Amino acid sequence: METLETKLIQLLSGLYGKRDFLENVDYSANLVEEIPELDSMGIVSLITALEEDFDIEFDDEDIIIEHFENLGTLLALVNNKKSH
Amino acid sequence: MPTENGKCFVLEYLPAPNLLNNQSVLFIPPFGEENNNSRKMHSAIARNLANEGFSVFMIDLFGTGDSEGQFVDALWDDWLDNIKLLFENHLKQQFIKTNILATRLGALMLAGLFENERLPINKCLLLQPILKGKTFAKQLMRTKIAAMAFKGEKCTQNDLQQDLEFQGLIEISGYQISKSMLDKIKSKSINDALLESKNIITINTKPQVEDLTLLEKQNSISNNNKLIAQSPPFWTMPEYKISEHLIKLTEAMFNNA
Repeated sequence: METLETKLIQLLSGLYGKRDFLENVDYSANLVEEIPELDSMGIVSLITALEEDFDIEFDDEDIIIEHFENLGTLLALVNNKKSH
Repeated sequence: MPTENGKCFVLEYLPAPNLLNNQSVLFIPPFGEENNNSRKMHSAIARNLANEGFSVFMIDLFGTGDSEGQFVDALWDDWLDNIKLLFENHLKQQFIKTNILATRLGALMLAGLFENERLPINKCLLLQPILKGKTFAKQLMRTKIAAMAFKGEKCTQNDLQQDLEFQGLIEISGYQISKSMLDKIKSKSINDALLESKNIITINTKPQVEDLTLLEKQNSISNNNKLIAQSPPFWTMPEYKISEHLIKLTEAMFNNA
């Protein structure tokens, strides 16, 4: 069964490649360092993709680097949004 | 190309004389950094179309790329005039058919042009079109918020809107965008009737496709004017793998014209 986590990894792999890194990822590994495309525009396109794929909506306050720092923080953010 | 506000740079990809099919394709570019990011993909699509016999023309609108003027001084209506002029110049060049490929905000500009008149265009491909200017403006604001977050600063869209009202412009991704331009973008949208027109085809991208054969089957259903290409969101990132699928899809669409 497809979990939120696998869906998130698939989305990131699709957007940025790096399938090997993402499938073997240490949840605390720094995404912004590993994925150079995650600059300000990259984060906004990721937010847009997350909103579409997970049917969630982000607030301005959610756009802080800490949320996009690693897969663990990103997953927590998506989980949090899904539960509201 | 001379215009009322100075010269606009137009890049041409011309086919070898023995390949000429007497059709042209005009590219209408996306906005700001999205245009820069798209150049590699656009260039790959243009080269392929030229190999298929199409004469391809890519314009740098006023204040962008190698054209004259400053981005901050660009007005929405100037850009529409630039596109219209490019098109009118084309009509004088004896092409049998003139086609358009409009990417992202380019599609919204094309819709803006159609508000006033329906140009005799053979086929239009709208590549990942921005359907609502308001949504795009929100994305621009979010880009600014994300850029500030990288510097450890926080702000909201309301804060940015207040700055915009006060200063009359805002810097996003290195581009000074005027309030007038942003207000115009916000007020525009592409209506459903236009998207249903038989000579308008929308191509949206999907980075990963599980079954490409199935996708191609769906894309080839006759009268289907909403297609999917397997492609990264090339307009958002400077480095990406060129999508052969998108190149072949654009070729097929224009060749079926």
